[in-house]
Amino acid sequence: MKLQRTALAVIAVLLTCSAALAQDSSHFPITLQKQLTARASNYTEVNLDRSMLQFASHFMDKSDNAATRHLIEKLNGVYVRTYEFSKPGQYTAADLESIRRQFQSSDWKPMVRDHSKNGLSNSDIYVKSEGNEILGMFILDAEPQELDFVYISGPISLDDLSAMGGNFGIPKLKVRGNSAAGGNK
Amino acid sequence: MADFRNELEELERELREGLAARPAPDGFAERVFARVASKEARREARPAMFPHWRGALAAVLIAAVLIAAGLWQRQRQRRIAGEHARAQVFLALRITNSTLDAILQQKIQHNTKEAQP
Amino acid sequence: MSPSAERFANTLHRHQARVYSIAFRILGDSGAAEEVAQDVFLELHRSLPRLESEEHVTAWLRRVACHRSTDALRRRAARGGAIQDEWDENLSLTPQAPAPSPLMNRIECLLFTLPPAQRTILVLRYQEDMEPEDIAIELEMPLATVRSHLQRGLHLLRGKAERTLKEYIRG
Repeated sequence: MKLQRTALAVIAVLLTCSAALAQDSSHFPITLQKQLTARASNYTEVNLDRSMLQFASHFMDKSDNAATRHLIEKLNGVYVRTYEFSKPGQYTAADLESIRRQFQSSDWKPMVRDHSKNGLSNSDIYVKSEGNEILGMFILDAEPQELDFVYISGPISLDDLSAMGGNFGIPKLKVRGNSAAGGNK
Repeated sequence: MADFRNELEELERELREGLAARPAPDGFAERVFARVASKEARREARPAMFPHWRGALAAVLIAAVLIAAGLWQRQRQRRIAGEHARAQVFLALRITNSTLDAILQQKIQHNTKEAQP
Repeated sequence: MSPSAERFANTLHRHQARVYSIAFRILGDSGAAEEVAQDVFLELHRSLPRLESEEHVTAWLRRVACHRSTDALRRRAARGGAIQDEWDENLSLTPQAPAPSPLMNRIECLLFTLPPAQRTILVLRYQEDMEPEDIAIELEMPLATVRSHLQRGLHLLRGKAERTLKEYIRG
């Protein structure tokens, strides 16, 4: 009986850790995610940890862009959340702040912080860097009826993202090389 | 008046010719199929149907079929999962680039407006 | 392949150029056009069993491609770019993917200088060969408005084409 209780406790701890890890991996607050999913008219959630990215790269053939394969093989994770709403007011400034808080350690530096005075649009690009290398990127684009979040963990640069553009429906970065805040590699 | 009508007809002829459907990008159909496959991969698999056999030989044959079916099913699921993962990667990268581009373009527009006297 | 999967595959191959072209010519961006076109076919995959005839499928694809493209354009405008209300002499959304012919390239370049409403109507009129009455039903717009956009669009294209030719001659 004691062994059974211990086993149950261990399982409970493991499940909690795994749930916490799931949130930590994507850096998107789970409670907020559930709320936005319920309110959205359309949403997309992508969770690709390192093992999934490696797995996906095995299924990329010669016709797939070599730059894309090379990029995803070195990443630790790519997490995307996009939400479209039929009307404004489905999230608050506090909700956006709860997302940004996940990236406010000293490792993370803002590359773009564009918050309109009327509160109708908020854009953030934060990067985590070590020396000259960017080791993570967080993008948050909030419009009245749309919220887009991207978190990329691992070595990444605008050059890498630009190299993939124009292939397989991936848009080209038209502003490649423009120093919005001087953060490009 | 006749000249104007001729000009208009010529313009309309050019528009019809110039606006013939342009081909979709290479691999477009494959990418659509991959997205369809990734949705279907989430549906539950139908249970396999096995015939009923009698005797030891039948038992051996059943075992062989089960193993082969299991292997095939695992390979098929792995392939479907792989296509799904690949489709998810491209989806994530599309969203990343379009979001990034929109933010940076907006930033440039703001900087341009601020720089104007 | 099951009959339904085969029907979907055949429909996709038959109409992918049409759907992509509608999206591309409304949005002016090959990446965004591919995204919209893929979404249209994903929706078709769900809806195809309800669509009985080939005509029904074609009309459905046109309608959904148009609506999704104009929605995407509105979302893009909401990000900070103003929606074009008037023809902008200086605006030119250079297509990223090269057109198969010089004429198509020239026509598309001219088309992209027009405001979205006129552009959409011209695409439906001259790419899809739809009559103004059918365009009005499709876009839920009064017939008079469709005719006015069509007339104005053609007038602007003529003027722009003349200017381009004169500059070419002068150059």
